[in-house]
Amino acid sequence: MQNTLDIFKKLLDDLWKGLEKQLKPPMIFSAQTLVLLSFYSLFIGILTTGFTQRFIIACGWMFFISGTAWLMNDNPIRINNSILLNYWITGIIICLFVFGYILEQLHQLELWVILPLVVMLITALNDFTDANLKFCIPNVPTRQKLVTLLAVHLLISCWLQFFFVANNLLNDYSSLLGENFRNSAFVIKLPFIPRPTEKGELILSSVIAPVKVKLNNQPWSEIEALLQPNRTQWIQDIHQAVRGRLSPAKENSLWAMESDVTSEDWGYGLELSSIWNGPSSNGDGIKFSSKCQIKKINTSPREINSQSTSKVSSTSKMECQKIIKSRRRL
Amino acid sequence: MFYLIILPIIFWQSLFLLIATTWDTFLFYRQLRVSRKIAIEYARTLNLFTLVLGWISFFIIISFLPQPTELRIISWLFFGRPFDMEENESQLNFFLYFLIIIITTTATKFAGMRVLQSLLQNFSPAGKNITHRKLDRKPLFTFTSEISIIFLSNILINTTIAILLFIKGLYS
Repeated sequence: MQNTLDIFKKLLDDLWKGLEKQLKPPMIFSAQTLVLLSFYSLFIGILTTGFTQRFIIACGWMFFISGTAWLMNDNPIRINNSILLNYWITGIIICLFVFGYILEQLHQLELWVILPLVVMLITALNDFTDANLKFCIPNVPTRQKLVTLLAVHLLISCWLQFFFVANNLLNDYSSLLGENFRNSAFVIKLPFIPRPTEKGELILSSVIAPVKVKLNNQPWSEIEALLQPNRTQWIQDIHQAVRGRLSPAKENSLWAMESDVTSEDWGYGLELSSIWNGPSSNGDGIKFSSKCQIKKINTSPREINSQSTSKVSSTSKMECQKIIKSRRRL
Repeated sequence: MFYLIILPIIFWQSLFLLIATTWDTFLFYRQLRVSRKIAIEYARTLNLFTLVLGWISFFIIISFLPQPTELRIISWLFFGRPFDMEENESQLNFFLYFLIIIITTTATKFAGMRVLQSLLQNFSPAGKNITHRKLDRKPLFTFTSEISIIFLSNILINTTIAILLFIKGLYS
């Protein structure tokens, strides 16, 4: 038992010595002191509330940023002994502090567009100060290097911004998600993205339901009146109402509704189509259509009016087929 | 949600930078007779800043565009094809864009060169930066003013890029 305790004691002792060796600052004004101060500020911050807490934790962040930047300055982190990562890591920590802690907008990924500029500022700061941290104007080769670096970082920021712009455009016109992006010299579509909800299909099914209500179980004379002279108008009215209920998106106005009626032996055929009038990968419009049959059902006078007329009257019965997606040459 | 990645534009713009820097360096060195190092540095920086200004203009313009024009741009960006345009109109537009790009990049590069010259003060055509050997070399063209060299260089750059895009179009 004594032996186990000794081993445990020795382990703890070694661990403490190791920690002490790692964490004990070599002198008062050192990077380790700043990192330790940041942990101390975090600990004190947890014990306080309100503005004091935010202020102390913000100080902790600043100690941490300065400490890690200093540490990395002493021990640079490189990829393959060439690409220096120090400024990028410091830049990411600063952005986390500003976006996450001060602005509380870490979920707003668009803010990260300025990360390359933050990195550029940190890099430039190094060249605009001398060993005593005093401001100095860099010499011509350094100025040339800084101008090129600024341009490169600005270009990276622009690429990041374009990433967001392209994706926002696709979110505005989400019906394009099903298209082929193979010919684009600007973007490629990520593989394995889930199949999007087809807005055209959604609009068409939402239009079919009220059309069915309007045309089902109606006297045949009324059906003929509805289908022939003013069909386009009332179908468009339904379409407008459906569009008004959709979640607002720029692409909503690009979906049009068309209808076509054919006279058949058994009644009328009605084809309803939701048509995409926006751009597409092969220049053809996207079309969702459903063929409906409006059948004439003869009903005996008894069924209509038990007292009554000798005339045979007719009503309608409407059935629609499955919605089909197809291409339509514009 | 993010569905698109922008690797193709990064590839094409890097290629564009390479071609543009090569042409500019070649012409600055041969025509303006600055040292090789300075020619490379100026060419690289000017082309980078031209791209950045182009992007910034694009971001500003696209936020104010009416929907029909926005749809045309989307069609070019996503599908590499014209939308809602006759073939003649599309060819005319291509030619106009080509002209606009050449004129604006020439102006931008010239202004950028002046800013760089005042900032770095190390670019003096046919001045102290060149060696005796270089002075003896005859320029390829008779004109040697900065703006005409930039203009010529832009025509060469954009023609090279247009040829590359045409070849890409043939194979896609």
